[in-house]
Amino acid sequence: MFFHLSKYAVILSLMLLLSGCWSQINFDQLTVVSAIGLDVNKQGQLEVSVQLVNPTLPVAAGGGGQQRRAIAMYTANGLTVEDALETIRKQAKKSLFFSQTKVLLIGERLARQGLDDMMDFFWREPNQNFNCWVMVSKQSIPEVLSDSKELQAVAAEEWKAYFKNKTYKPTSGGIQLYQFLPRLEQSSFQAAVPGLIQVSKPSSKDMIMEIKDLAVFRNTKLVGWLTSEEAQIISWLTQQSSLGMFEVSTKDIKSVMFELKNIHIAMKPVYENGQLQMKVRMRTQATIKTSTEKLDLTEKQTTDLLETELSNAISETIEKTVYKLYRSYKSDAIGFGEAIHRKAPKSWKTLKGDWNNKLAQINVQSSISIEIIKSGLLIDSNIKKDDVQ
Amino acid sequence: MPDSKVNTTRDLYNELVSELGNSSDLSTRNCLIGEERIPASVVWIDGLVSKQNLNADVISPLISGTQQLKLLHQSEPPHELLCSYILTANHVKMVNTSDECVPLLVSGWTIILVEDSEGAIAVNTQGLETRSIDEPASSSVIRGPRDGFVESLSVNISLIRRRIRDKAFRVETLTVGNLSHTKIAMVYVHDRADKETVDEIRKRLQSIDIDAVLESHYIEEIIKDSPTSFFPTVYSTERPDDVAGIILDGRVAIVVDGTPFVLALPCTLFHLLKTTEDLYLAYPVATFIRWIRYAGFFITLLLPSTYVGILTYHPEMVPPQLLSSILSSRDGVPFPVLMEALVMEIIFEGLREASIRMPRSIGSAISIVGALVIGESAVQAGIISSPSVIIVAGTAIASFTIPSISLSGTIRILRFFMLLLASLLGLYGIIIGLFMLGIQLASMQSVGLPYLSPFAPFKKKEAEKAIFRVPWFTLRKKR
Repeated sequence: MFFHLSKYAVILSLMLLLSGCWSQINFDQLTVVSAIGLDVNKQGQLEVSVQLVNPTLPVAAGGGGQQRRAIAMYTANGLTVEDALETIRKQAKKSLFFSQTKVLLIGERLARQGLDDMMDFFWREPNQNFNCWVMVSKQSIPEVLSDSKELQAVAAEEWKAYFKNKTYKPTSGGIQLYQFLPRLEQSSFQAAVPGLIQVSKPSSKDMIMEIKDLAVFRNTKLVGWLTSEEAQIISWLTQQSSLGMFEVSTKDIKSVMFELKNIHIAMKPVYENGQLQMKVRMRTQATIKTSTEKLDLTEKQTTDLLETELSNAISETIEKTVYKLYRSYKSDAIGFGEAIHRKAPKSWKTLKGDWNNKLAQINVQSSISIEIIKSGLLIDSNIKKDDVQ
Repeated sequence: MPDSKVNTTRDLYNELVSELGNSSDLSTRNCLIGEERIPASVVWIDGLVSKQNLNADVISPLISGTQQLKLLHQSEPPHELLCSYILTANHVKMVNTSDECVPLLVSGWTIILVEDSEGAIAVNTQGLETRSIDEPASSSVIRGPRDGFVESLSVNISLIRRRIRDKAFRVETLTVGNLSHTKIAMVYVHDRADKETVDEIRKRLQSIDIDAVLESHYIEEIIKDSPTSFFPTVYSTERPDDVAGIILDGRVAIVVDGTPFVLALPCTLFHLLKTTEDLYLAYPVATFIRWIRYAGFFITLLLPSTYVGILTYHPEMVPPQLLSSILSSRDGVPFPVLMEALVMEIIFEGLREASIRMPRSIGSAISIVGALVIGESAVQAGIISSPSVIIVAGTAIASFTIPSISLSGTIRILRFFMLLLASLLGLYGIIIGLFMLGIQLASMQSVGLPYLSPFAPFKKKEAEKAIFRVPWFTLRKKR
């Protein structure tokens, strides 16, 4: 009976093999793409670069002495992204694995031309990482991807770690692919992408890169840059971060650096005399980090003065940033349009048609309440000479 | 003296000898008893009787106790006189034919044949050599009683009985095996065991038709539900305290002569994952350990297949650092992932089998060699990657957490099945496999009790008890 049954079992189990190795991935040929770069070359053709990771044993597992390059960089030109990738696959002779891509790097030149035709690949491709971080590079992308040096062997991993770090979040303004892609089409909330900029050091061959500034997009085109200080305002307004450092230097106070915590911020659309206004309310707690001024915080006057100076400075920066965005760049990178959409969906319908041009008419009013809660170890001022003895 | 009578006794003796085929372990002691010096023969089988009992209870009273005794022409026949007056053994019986004698003789009784008398006397001098009560090798505990069953039915039953000294404790004995005539005993607590279950088990035991029963697994295989299934539906244990707990739970135990493994019915999947020690440890600790065991069950089943499935079909699921380290350690390994996992699992199974069969003195050597061969050399030679060694080792550890040997064997076989499915269809295949397993388990029963109870069908109180080791102070009511 056993033989009788096993005959059928064998025949049935052969049926399992009919599926073959459908969608099986050849694991040993698999090469992780850590970064993708898009740019245009001198002839105006799309130039795609990929940074491939050569897996190494972690140092903890005795892989410290391995002598092989950690990364390899391949570049190819093509009409579309897929076209160029096909060429790269031929060059690299490996199966490219996009599911753990850390960084998507866009060249500034390409970004200024507009990304209209390139993004279809990223919308369509199932095997890719929507969590990869998007950056705009001012340097030539193949150079950045092959020569940039970080402490970690694979630079893209270091960049990703930087974006994930909470302390750097306010100024880095990191944006991931799943946020970036829809914002290219969404006039009510446009993309703002951190820049990857070389720290000029012409003598050494290695490139030291800095992640700073913010490239503002109007639809699919890059229209301008914001400084890191302005980037911080953007990340507060978009509620990406509730932390930040802020320096105040006015004619009364030379320079005091504050650390802001627990920032609560709200944008509210208000109609005043038929005119659309943006009201920003911000509540935060501040800590004094350093001061070049002698501050005596036992005096209430001093604290009050600091609080007013700080709130004036912040509100000025907010207004400056928003006006820069709205009037110079005509791009809503803080999502005010979305705020209106949520608050008054009906009036949004009339607004959304020509939103980018209506931005210039919007006035910003900000009200800021600040509480200075900590001043570090010093209360009254700098150490007096008598105390030291 | 009528001739016929003389002939009867002689005939009986000859008949006995010839029925046992002149077997050389049949011993005979001839003596003269009574004042009349009547010839008598004492017959027994060497090794089955206790020599001490034989001498003290049979031969010495027969010879020295009857010297001043007139045996013939008394009011009672000589056999009855001997039985009630001379023999001091605890169990004495009159037998007439050799058909009655032989079964008694082969089970260790001594037959006394007195000339000129009808029939014979059978005296219980049973005294099999038995092992002393040791700690069971298959299931040792840190805390808990250290006695284990031995190969003798009566000792085993006494071990259970001394734990439950109640009148409701029941033992039903029957003999199974056309050649072995093995005694088996059904043990249960009368008012707790479900009557239908007891009747069903009794019916199954009575319908057994087999030549010999050398171990309780013979019985297990015949009486178990879903005999084609890989999963055990009969529980077996070597621990008397385990059996006592089982019959207090209202289940039925089957003790088989000649083996220390006692069966218990009904038995569900969760019974197989519990141990007696759960009840001897503090309830938080016991609950935690029980969860580890449950996790071990799934890890044994799924770890290698998940590894293979994810790496061959869904590598994007692996975290970047892990993927990088797996990729780098697989660099230069000549086998595909499936091959590697399969070969390692089979090597491990071989190692496990070898270490059981090896004499104990070499056993430790095997494990060292095996660990070295698999762990160090294979990885260093670049034949096997270290992650798969870790996977196999993890699976091995998990498989040792399953307390039941038979369940652990089942899971270890099914692991290969899952491995194949995963290699063909990835995680999708694993899910298909789990569904098939679930259907199979849900369709099984053990003497009327669904195999997945108390979860399917769901019974809240009992499910709670299966997941947590519920402390005694919350159980005020009688079970």
